[in-house]
Amino acid sequence: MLIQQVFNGLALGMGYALIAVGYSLVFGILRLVNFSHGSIYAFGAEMAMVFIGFQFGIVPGIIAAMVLTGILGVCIDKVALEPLRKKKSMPIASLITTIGISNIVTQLLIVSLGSEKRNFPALFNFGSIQIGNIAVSSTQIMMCVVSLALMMVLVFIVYKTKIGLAMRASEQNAKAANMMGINVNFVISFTFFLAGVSATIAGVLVGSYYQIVYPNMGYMAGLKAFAAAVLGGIGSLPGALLGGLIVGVSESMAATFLGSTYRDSIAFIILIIVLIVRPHGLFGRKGITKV
Amino acid sequence: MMLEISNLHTYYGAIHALKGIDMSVEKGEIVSLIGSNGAGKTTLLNTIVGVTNAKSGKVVFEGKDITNSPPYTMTKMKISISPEGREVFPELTVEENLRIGAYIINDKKTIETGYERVYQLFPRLKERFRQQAGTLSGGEQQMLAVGRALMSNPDLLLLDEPSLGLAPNFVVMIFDMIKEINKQGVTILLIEQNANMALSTSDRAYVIENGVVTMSGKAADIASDPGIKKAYLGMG
Repeated sequence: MLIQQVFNGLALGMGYALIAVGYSLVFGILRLVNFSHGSIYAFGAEMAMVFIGFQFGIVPGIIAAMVLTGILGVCIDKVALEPLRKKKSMPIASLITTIGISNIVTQLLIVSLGSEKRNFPALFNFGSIQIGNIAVSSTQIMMCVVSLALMMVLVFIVYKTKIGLAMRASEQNAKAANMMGINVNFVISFTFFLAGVSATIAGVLVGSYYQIVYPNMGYMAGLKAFAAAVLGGIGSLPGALLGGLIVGVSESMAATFLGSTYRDSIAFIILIIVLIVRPHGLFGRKGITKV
Repeated sequence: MMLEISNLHTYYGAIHALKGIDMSVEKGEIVSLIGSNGAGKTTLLNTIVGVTNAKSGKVVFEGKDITNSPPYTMTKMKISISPEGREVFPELTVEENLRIGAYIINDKKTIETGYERVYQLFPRLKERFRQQAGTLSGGEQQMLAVGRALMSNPDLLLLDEPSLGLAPNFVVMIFDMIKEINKQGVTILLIEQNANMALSTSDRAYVIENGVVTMSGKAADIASDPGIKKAYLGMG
């Protein structure tokens, strides 16, 4: 029972981790918590469902949703956040803007697709593996495999490519990066694009796990993933992964052993405890300052 | 003229920081800007590279109007800057910092040549190329800032207070390097509070006070001016 719940939680946690990296990437470069990220995740999942419904193949459908959601992230930055940066407005203005955008995106989904829950195809349902008395479904295995692969791709981009170097430089000193020939606004757009793509993959995985998507699915998932990002140390990719797994496992434990009423609050209880002991999160760097 | 600035006005909010600056830099020269704190030297440099926008006036580089072009387009035009306070990337290694300096260059060979040039000028950086820049001493960070600026292979190098806060032996070394870089064919515009060193290194100089050029000419002539001696050179 216990081990079974750990496995269930790990699969779920991978989904949170993929949403959490979106918070981390954007926070790293802008020192901004992008509260619209949960709605971007819901948008990605809904778009995947719509495109898969067009019958031109599941993989092209998912890719189209990834690209479209990435572009949505870029547009949010260009339309609402970049003008604020140009005016050097106070950070809280950007923060409230992202909360507003979150509502706008969710409402747009409701207006265009309806607010009801819709069935999402079980994409990876090839049965399950029985180990002793633990059953691991192929969907859970695929969630772990796809998430880990995407994490590795992200780590590769950030630490081994030229654009990744530009991301890290802009994160540490945007003004100097700009003077060295890096178009920092382009780097920020790229970061929002990556965050949107990761959120879509998370949306597809979680959607096909529960076989359900709906416009409001990003609200609670977004908050929990944000908790996961802070728990792991916001700005850190390994931190987002670990944070996501902790949130996922604790949630599935709480649902089983404490009752399902606790499942949505346990992530935040753990967050508070960890932050009291380690204010910078598990993988957080001390003394990170905005230059 | 390589760089020509005419009637440049810049404001910081309500503060009129540059009040009609005229100056020019010729290819191959070392030109220094001297003046006290808050005179407008850094503002002038920031306006040249587009960090701060000019209200009116012109910046022309190699015949092209570059007034208020965004900073990231400078290296492409072969203008490079070593900013005030060094501004190295503290959590990147020395090598990564240099790689960022060559961001606009894609040719691997050109980048390799850039590393070699910098390591030859500053052997200390070669010893520390895998070290995080934040762990370097102030003098080493200054070398890195200058080296990073050289990586884009500039024609014009802008140096903002390269000697600020450095130990005397480092100051002498940095100025020797400036002469050496100039000999390699790089034109240099230098901002300095250390007027003594700046004037003895430069061909020409401009004195800025309260956002206005109050004197300009051959560095040697300015160094022997009685008013300058009294105000900036601690003599007289």
